[in-house]
Amino acid sequence: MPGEANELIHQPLRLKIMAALNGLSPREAVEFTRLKSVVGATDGNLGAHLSTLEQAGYVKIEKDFVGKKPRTRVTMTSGGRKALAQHVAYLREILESVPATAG
Amino acid sequence: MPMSTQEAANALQDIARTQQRASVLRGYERGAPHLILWGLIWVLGYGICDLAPAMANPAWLVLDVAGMTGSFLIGRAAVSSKSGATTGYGLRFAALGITALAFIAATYYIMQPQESAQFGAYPALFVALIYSVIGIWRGSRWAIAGIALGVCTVAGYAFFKEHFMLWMAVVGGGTLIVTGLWLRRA
Repeated sequence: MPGEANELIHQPLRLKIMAALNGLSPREAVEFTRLKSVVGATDGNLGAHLSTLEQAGYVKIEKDFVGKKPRTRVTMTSGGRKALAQHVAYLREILESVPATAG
Repeated sequence: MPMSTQEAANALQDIARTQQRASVLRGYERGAPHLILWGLIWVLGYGICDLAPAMANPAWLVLDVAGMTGSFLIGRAAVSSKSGATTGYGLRFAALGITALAFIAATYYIMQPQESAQFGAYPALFVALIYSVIGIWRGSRWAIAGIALGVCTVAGYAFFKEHFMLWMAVVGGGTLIVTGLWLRRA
């Protein structure tokens, strides 16, 4: 019997954000604009979902300046990686729990 | 409420698609500065071939060393910012450069090109091939860059042979610079 879904991660845009960040190496950050392009979200929508993920401890958001230009960078925490891995395992369990039909 | 198998399958597909897209865009971002750098080198190198042919060989030697050094530093900075470790990067990069140069030199030795346009066209076609092959696996923009470069090279050889080096400086180098900027904006 499969475990439980992580409802926080399962929201479609948050799932994409987590998937995009999971492809990076542990210390690698992605810029907000790049992430927006990867997941196909608007500034406001992405910002809101990133805040939710940050509050859950799944991502870390850093803001700084490059010259006079503000820059926002996002990294995935180890807790975020673990949570995504567990959610993916749950999704796979659901598929594997379906009995194979005879061809 | 438990999740349906269809919903689970869709979620896994979304994850795979997003990771693929992120990987492609990361490749564009990392490749762009190399294209811009080598575009500038082509503008200078092929430009010198047209304007001062006697200086072509020493100029290319200096420009190739500068380009390889620049590419090495760009690549190492990208690797370093990613994981903080650059172990083995220098050796792999040197091996890549030596392999490419050895392949081009061996081809010249066997095919014995007679005209300067042939010497100039072959490395450009080789680069076009590499970008096209990368594009088959790593994103269509690479393939478009490779095809554009190949078409420009063959068109210059066919229709502007008298000023082929100038053509390659402007059109070949320009194509690399423009596609580099295009990759960066992806």
